Amino acid sequence: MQSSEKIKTGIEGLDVLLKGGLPSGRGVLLIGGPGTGKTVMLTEFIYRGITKVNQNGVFVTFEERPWDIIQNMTSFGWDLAKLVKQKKLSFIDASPRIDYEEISYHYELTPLLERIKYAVKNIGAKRVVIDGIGHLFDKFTNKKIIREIIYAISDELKKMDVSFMISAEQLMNSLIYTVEEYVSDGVINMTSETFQNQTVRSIEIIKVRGSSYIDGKTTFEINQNGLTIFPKIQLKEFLNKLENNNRCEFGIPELDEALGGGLPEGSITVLIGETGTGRTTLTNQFIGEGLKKKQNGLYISFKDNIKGFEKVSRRLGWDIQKHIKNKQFKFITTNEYPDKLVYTITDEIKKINAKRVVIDSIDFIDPISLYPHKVADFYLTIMQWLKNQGITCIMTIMPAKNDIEDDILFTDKEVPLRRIINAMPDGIIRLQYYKNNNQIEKKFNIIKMRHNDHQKKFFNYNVDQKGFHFERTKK
Amino acid sequence: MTNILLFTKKNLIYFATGIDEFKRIVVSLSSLQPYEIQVIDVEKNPELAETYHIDALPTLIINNKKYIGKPDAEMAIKIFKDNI
Repeated sequence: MQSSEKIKTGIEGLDVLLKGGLPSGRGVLLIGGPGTGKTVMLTEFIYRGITKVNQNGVFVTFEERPWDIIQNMTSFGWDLAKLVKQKKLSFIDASPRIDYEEISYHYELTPLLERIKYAVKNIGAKRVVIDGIGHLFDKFTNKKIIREIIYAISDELKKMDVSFMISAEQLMNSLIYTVEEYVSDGVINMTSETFQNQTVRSIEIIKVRGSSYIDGKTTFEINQNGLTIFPKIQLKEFLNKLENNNRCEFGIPELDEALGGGLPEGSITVLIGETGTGRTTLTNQFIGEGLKKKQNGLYISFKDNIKGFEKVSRRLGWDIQKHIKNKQFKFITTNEYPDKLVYTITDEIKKINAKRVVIDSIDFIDPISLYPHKVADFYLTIMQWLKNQGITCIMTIMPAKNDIEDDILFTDKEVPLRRIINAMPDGIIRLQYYKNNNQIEKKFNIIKMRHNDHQKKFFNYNVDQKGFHFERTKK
Repeated sequence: MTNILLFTKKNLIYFATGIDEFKRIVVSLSSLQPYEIQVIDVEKNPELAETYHIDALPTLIINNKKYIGKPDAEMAIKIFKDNI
């Protein structure tokens, strides 16, 4: 088979996974269980082909009636009826019917081929999708004849240089084997899993003959735009903009001094602290001080809503609603899966051009993820992305134990996190409390701070109405 | 009025026998009821195959009901008589 040029499917994330698109005049087998989004994928392939790539399409349906498909797809804003009227789209209706009876084993299925050929020629189609080809096996008993027609159709489509996708249910192993081995040049698998009451949809390209692609499972969702796939963001460069010596202050003089003037601009700092150590107050002051200096801020929480944060802000004397209105600040609560989260965070940062970002708290993302390795991917990608943009970021985390002598910051479960946190962030700051003479004392120390001359000692601190401040050290 | 359609094509291996049986069906039915017959070649008229949702050849349609496979006159006549 000669190598042919890649043509965009027009489905954005899919073209990223396919590194540009599908080779033209080839067939792809789409496998997946019920409700995994196969029909939406096929329809979008046809719809984008017509509207974005200028390739007319034929939709062969063995499942739903064409009218039902047209109706269902209006929820994505796809006006298929109009495309049919414009002779850009044609339906071949092979949906199940009861008005027939097989009276002999002697027949052939060539009308299917004739109908497809006719429709393709009639509208000059360059794309064909065949939805639910497995239904042929329910409709007819002669399996040999069914296989023959599947070969004949794909042969003919290839001869006509038409790109096609055929969907099949995952359970029909013998059919999938037939199509995969002899008909298709590529296989795409769609899955849907439920995890903690969340449905996580994934798409995986299993093979594409003669073409490179991004492998592994990628999360996608079906929303009002059709399929939204979240391919891993491929960073082309790895910048480190820390050399400029600019500082991002907290506006807490002693703390800024201890840090050697503030957090280095463009650095990532992990803030370790239990609940009650003043994490929210400290990060709140970091954002508030940024806003004073015209540096926009984004606060991402994996568990809390804006209420608590707003209360602290009010106490500290800044009006977050005003800054939200002026698009200088945004607070988001999210518990999305990691593949999507990267997009959410980077999009929000771009929208308000945030210079200071707080992520609270990063240990919280672990239990919400179905795929632990995706969590590691998430942190590596987001941290490098932030560095490339020169954004100053604080990520909070709960310590495994609140023990001032204990250096084990993470439990065994969090080993991937620990590996990342040892490598990527530029700074680690710790907030701790412990009992001393029947009183709780709070201590602050800087464990590490790259590119910075910071103080190494423990500072006693307090959090009160005015915020976070160090206690005067007795000399 | 009974409508009888036969979908077939010239180079179908069941073409000759199919047509023969079809003739027998038509002759038998003619004594029973007025009818209208049509033989359609799907290669010449693929749009009619689409209109009637024809997947298989030969397909015999008697009053909107499809009978798929090489027609057997006795069987078809029996089915037909049962249905009037």
